Amino acid sequence: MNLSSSSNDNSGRLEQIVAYLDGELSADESAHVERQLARDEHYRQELQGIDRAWSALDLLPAATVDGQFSKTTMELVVQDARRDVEQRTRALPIQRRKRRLATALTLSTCVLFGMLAYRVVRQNPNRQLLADLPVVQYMDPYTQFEDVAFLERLHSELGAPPWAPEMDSTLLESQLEQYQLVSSSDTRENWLNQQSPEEKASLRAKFNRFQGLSAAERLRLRELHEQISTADDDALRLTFLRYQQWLRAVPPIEKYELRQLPTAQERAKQVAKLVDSERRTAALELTEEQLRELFATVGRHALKEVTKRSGKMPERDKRARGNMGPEQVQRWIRNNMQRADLQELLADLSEILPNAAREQLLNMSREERKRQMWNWLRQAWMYMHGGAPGKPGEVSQEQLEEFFSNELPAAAQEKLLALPRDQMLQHLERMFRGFSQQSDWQNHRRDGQPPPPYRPGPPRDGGRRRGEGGPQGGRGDGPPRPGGDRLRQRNRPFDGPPFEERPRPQPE
Amino acid sequence: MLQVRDDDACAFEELVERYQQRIVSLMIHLVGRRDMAEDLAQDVFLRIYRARKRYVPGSKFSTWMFTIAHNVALNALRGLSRRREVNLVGSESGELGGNPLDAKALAASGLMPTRQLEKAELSEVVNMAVADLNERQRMAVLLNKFEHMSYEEIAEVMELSPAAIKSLLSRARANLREVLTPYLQQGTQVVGDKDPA
Repeated sequence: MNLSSSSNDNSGRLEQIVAYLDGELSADESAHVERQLARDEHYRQELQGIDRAWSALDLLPAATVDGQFSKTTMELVVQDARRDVEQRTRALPIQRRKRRLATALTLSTCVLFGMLAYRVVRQNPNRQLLADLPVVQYMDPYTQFEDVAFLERLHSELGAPPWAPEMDSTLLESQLEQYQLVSSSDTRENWLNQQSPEEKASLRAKFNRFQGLSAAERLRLRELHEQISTADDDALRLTFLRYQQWLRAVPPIEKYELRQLPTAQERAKQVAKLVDSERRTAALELTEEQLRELFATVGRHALKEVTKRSGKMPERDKRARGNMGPEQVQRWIRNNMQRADLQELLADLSEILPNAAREQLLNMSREERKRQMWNWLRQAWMYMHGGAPGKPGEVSQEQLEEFFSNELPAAAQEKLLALPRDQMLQHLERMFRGFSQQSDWQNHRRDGQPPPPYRPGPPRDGGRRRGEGGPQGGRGDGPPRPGGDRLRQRNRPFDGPPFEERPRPQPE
Repeated sequence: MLQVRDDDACAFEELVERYQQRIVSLMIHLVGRRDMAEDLAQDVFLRIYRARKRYVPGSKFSTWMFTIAHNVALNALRGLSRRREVNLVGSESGELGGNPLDAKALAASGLMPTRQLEKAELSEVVNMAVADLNERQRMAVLLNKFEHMSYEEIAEVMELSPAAIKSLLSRARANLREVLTPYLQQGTQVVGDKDPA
């Protein structure tokens, strides 16, 4: 143990002395060694011995190299370089061949992967459709506005009440659920698989239309969907779904007009205006029974007016009463009704008309009120003599011409004339039969059919009429412009008292 | 060296001329034979040329060069020691087999007590003392003594730690002192003659 310790001490001391001589010690360590040298003779002798032996190495013979060495070295290097170049030159074709082989292999691999990728994509044609499914499914309403600012504005204009027709809370919840299913990437594939073949075909057609849009428009629609689907609360989505439902009942021409409005604010205001107008129109819908009662009441009122004026029914009226056709009866009623006290008539009708309809009537101008009364009378007459509304009845060309000339406002006439002849006649007859726009569209929705392209209704909202026509409609096919008094009388006898309840015709 | 790296042949020739003396001397002290030392030195320069593209600018060139020289010398010494083992087996039966330094020591001690060693003789003794060190001690001594390398640089060349170099050098110098002290005590004059020169 002591021997080992002593050996370590010697080794440490030796290293210290050598490091001191080589200048590898720090200043402190050097100072320590110098103090040791000053007081320890043996230490000093040891250092001197080591230093002397080190100095003796200077006696080693130094080698001298002549110029031949560098010359032969350079020759060696040149030979080596030449050999290297030769080897590389020999290897060049092999390297080229290897490179070509590698390129060919890489290309083959790329082609193989490309084919595999193509097959994978081709085997699943729905993949791309699936990726854009939410945008494709809601493409039509999305293309109807620019950004979410419109929905926010619409929400502030119309609020939460179910302003879209037939949009009760159950349907709304169902549509919201579907919207979320389609929007979520986890559930949309399952939703798509559950669709019927017809619905899938419809989606495919929509997808093709989507592909036909410009890249910028597709991107805009995707971003719009992203904004709506990731909105914090459901208010935006509910407004969108109500708007979508409402849009289904809007003819393409009106959709086009809405799209042309420059700002979201103007669009929202216009939608609110249309919704309000539809509410008012819906309030004027009467049932068949109400229409029959209204017809009888107005007839009695007209007779009372005639009697009041002359003390008794004039002879010609009595004669006429037995021979008048239905149109003549209506005209007779209308003429006499115009002279009657309207307030008194309204008082008589108060029990027949629903509150909403009565309020609407009171708020109308005198002219509008008369037009509305006449509209109701014509509807009632159609029930009593021409079959139920919506079914082909005995409407003559003359009746239509007179209706067109005397009843329709100029704006509606313009729109009708813009339609092809067949469509114009069809819509004119519908209008003559007294369809309201609201009921007609609802019927179409219930049938699952798309709404007819143009259905002018009774004048409302300052003479505005909803319908189709637009830039593509032509005038050349329209009917001859009817004259002011070309209503030809039909000679079918009026076979019953006009003011009494008549047995209802059985629907065909 | 940067020019050499860029395939400048003249620069390489200049580099050879500048370092050939030092490399040949190192190799002579390492392997003990001049012809072999020159061959090894040429091998070192050849390797430098081949590895010129791998030289990293900023690193000290001499350190990089002596690292190559160390590897070349180490390989040569290993081959040499294998051949020497074979030779020793054949010569051990001789009557004067053994360390020639012992014979010198014998000659310098009691047999000729009053004789002072001549300078050439002492140089031979020192040469033999250096040759008697093991390969690593010899390399460290030569780099420290003649290339004036610090412990850290030697450590980098020999791929050892500076502490290991410190220990290696102290043992080498102790060995040198042990071998040379008897000669130096007699030949003080000879060694002292060198100083005024």
